[in-house]
Amino acid sequence: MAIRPLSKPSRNSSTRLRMPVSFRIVLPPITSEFLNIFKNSAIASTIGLMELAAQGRQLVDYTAHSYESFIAVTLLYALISVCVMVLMWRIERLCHIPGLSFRK
Amino acid sequence: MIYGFDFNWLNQSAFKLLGRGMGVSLEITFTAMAAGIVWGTLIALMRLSSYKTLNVLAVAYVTAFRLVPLVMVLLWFFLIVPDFLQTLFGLSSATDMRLVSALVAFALYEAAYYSEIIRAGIQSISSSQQHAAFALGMTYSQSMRLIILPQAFRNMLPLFLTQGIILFQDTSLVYVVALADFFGQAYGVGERNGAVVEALFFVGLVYFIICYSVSLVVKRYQHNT
Repeated sequence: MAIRPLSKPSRNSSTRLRMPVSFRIVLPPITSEFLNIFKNSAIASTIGLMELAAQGRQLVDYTAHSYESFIAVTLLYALISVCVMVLMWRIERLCHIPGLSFRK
Repeated sequence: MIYGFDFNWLNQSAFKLLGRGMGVSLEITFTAMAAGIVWGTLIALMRLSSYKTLNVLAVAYVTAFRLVPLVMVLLWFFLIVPDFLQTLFGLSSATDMRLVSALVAFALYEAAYYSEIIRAGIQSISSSQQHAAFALGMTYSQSMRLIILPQAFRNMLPLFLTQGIILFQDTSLVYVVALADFFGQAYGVGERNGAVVEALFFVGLVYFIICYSVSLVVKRYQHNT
């Protein structure tokens, strides 16, 4: 490990070197996991929680406009996901280590 | 007081219903895996091709399916597919389309995820392999079919199975189109016998056993290669 010759105490090696680098490496998988969490929230309607997907189905019952209400709900989900993606890209760029690029 | 478990409802007729539900679950899983891998390969090739239009189309397809939850996709296809197929084949509007629409939705949704796996698999094959194929006088399609894809698929098999496990677990979401898969059947049986907790317990156990054994197979395969 590069930090050994620098003769730092070994307890610093994980907090000062390994974790900062590894967190940057795992950012892309974290992004997709983050997206998954938001999308999987749609499953909460199983136990009767009135979240977005459930409200959408209720909207169909109220208005009888199934296409329009589904389009609205789908666009809202897409909006959430796009926001998450943009936010994570920002974070990725902010944390970027020069010379250590994971993304072209 | 400790909850008194009652498993007396697990008789032959209950097993018959559960078996039918498991059939639906497995049918969706295997159809979506097969269709997803074929369609996903095409999308991955479109994504990697040098034609700009195909590139954009593939990226749009994958992004669109990654942005929307599976529940919404299922509801959408439940809305669109019956209309479409009824006008195409002139079926009566009373035909049961739930299974077909769920199959189509799962196949198209999984294709987006499989295409990402396949793209990574193709890119993991060294490009000198393709250059060597070209040097032997092969065309692009020959080099893909005979050299790159066979090697890529061998590397991707564990990932395919892992995605298959996730897909198998996701099949329980077909409850939104009122289709009775294994989970739905078990829930119904449990509700009829006043034993919902036991039914959910049983379902969880069965799902765990199946998924764990497949994941052991994946681990064994990874050790062998």
